Amino acid sequence: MKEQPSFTEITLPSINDVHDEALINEFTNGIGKKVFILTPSFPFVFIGKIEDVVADSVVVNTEVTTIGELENRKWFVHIHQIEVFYIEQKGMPRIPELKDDL
Amino acid sequence: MSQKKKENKKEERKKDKDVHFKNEITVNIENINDPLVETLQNLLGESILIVTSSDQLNLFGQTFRPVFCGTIMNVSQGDVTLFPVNIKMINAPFFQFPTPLNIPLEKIAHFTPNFDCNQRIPLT
Repeated sequence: MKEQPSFTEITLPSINDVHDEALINEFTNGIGKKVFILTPSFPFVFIGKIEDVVADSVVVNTEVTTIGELENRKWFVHIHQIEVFYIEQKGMPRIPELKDDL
Repeated sequence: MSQKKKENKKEERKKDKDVHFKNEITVNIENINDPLVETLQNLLGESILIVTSSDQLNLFGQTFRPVFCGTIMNVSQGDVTLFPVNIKMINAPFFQFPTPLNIPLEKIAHFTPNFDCNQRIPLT
């Protein structure tokens, strides 16, 4: 067995930290805009206006989700739990008024 | 690493003064290069197939595998934007999502560039 040189140094910030922080920044820039969020965790979908970003959670005034009872309230969504999203941009398609009967 | 070198290193460590910071540290990342972001930026306008990390996602009762195929519209330090973009729904494998979709870089499980989104792939 050849002795492997041990791994003794890491570089900060790690590239993962940079990606994570940049993502938070993207939501911060989106405050006041409408957002569509998909997450693997129940209730899976959040659609509404971004009200604020608190540490690494985005506060969404949720108008639409999968469960009617959970709609029309503030949801704090952990940004690093979000799998795909879309923040409405000028000149880009609007988020459709999705209904349960999709 | 030889035993001698290791010992030297340990001694160096002991000599190192422990540094304490009382507050958070701000690091300027302007000049940090990110090869992944660069790679994706070089693919702007190309089609790409991206699979994200969760087993499945759910869109109003439709469960689907998180497989996205589309054209790279924008790349930032935190995510990649696809538009137009297909979601490979089991019973609608060419469902085109009405808006662009952003995928966080940290959620990408794997991707393959220059994938023809019209190609049929079994989703089992």
